[in-house]
Amino acid sequence: MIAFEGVSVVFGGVRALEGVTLSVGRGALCVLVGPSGSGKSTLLRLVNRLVTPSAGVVRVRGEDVAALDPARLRRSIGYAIQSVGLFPHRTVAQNIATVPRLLGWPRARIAARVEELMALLRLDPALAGRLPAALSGGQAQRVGLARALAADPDILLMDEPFGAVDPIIRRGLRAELQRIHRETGKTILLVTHDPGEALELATHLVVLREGRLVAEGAPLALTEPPVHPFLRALLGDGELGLRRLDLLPVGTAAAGAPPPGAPSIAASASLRAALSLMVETRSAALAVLSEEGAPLGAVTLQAILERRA
Amino acid sequence: MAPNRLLPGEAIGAPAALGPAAHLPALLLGGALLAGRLRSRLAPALPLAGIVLALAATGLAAARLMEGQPPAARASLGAGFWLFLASAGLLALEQARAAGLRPAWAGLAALLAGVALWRWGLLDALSLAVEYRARQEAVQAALWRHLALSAAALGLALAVALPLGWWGFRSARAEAAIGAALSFVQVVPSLALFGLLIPLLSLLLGAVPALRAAGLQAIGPAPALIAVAAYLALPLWRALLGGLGAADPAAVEAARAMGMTERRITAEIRLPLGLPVFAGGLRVAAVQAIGLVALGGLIGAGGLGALVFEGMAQFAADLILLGALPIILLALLADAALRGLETRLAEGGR
Repeated sequence: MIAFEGVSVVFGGVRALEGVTLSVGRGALCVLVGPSGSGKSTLLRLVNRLVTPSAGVVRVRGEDVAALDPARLRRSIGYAIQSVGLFPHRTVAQNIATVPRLLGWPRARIAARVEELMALLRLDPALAGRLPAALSGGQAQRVGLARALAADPDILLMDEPFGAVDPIIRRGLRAELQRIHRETGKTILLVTHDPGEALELATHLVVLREGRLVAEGAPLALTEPPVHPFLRALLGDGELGLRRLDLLPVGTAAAGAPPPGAPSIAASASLRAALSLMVETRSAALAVLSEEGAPLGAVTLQAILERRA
Repeated sequence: MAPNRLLPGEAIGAPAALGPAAHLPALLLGGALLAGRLRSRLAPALPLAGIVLALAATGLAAARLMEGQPPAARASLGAGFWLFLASAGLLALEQARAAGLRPAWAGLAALLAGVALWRWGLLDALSLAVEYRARQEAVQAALWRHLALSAAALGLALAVALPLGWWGFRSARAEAAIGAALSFVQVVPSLALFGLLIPLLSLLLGAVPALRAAGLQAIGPAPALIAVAAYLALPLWRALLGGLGAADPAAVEAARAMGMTERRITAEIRLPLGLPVFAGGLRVAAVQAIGLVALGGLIGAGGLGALVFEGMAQFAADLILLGALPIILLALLADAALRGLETRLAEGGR
């Protein structure tokens, strides 16, 4: 869906990206991580031509973006940024309607779409006529996301979209994004500096360092020991083992029969939750239950330690 | 009181001219100070009433003094009156502000009261009114000419500043160059600029006689308009530049990333968000225009300034006032009106 072929970017003599080659498949939720200055935002902005490569080719839907009209290309790609950038003199509804209006949709269709998006992002319909100054941080981020989704683009670019909100709202917005991704199958390219967020959201994780791509793949594969020290420092925060367990459901490690009286855990919970429950209840084995409550076997401390992807 | 319009007169104290009533305006002013302490919404009405009363009383006293005097005699307002007017006016404005009213309303009320007194003939005996009656048509013509010249200079400056503003916004190099050029104009004393333009224009007219046929002259309104517009260009240009840059960079970036063309970003994001800033610049420029056009009177551009300079040449204080007072009033009115526009725009944008 999106392909970078040997792309380099130079800003006023400074190399922001160097020889990046990357292919993002249709329907992927590709997360770009890296320390600040690693070029992740630059890579994102190449896709809708906000940045022009000094070498290499960027392809979107198979076409070289350099050959496309930038305004039309941008209207076909959703874009959400940390600072949100809502238009302060326009109402929430008008903000959301920006791209459909640029595309010349009929008024009734725009109104219906705005209503639909506000429901999708669980925004109170009473907010439609308000100006952005009246919104809370979380609401503004949702409106920004709704605006990015307005013309139903098949590609969504997000630059730290949940950066400016508190952790609880952040978790909610993350879950919302995963739901939207699951339900719509859009190709999403997301920049974050939060490794936990990256591992949780990504179907395709891309790690950048000083303008070069240093690793890419599924989060589980990238955290498979032995892990390169740079990745370990970037993604681990001192708890890489636990973060990896976060990615694995209990059901994948269930075997045998639990000892009588063992505490129970749902098969869909993560192994990290299982380990936490073991520490909490001082038991080395847990009974695994299906959604319907049927016994599926046991998960033991030993099984967690020996678990491989 | 003076024997005629040019000679200095003898001073007549307020008690002698007005009798015991002389103390009433002062009492009202004192009352106003007290009422201000009490934070009453009526507080600004007291100094305003004081002004109206003082005007009416001096008008009547002048009429009494003039009885039996030769027609050339004049009764003018003394320095004490103007001092009183200024302090009462300041007090009224301050108290209007404290009471949460627009100061412009207090000014408007005072103006209306003054006009009403004038209409009733209460002020007819004052020398200013005598002078006005003698030159009524000239003053009115000068007023309109002054307004027209100010508006024309403002329009000319806008015509220059708009493209320069856009150019300066697009290019940092152009911004530096334009800024330096326009600031240089500000450094030239205004009279020197007027003087400089006269030979320059006559040279131009000598080279291109078609311009003369089109009505352009080296002396009169043309150099005045050009000089005033040159001064106004800087505040307008600055405001334009500031207005264009006033929009939140994130909003501009978002607009671009949504697929708005540069022209649309300017029309839909930059201009509406920059309008309050621009209105501020327009206000400064309009007030400056009214003041600067007065200097045009020196080089034959006409307007209220011509009255002031004529009065100065004749040492006729009333004639000077006849030119200066309307200039002050016009400037205040323009300031108040454009300030209202500015706040309205700023509130709408938020």
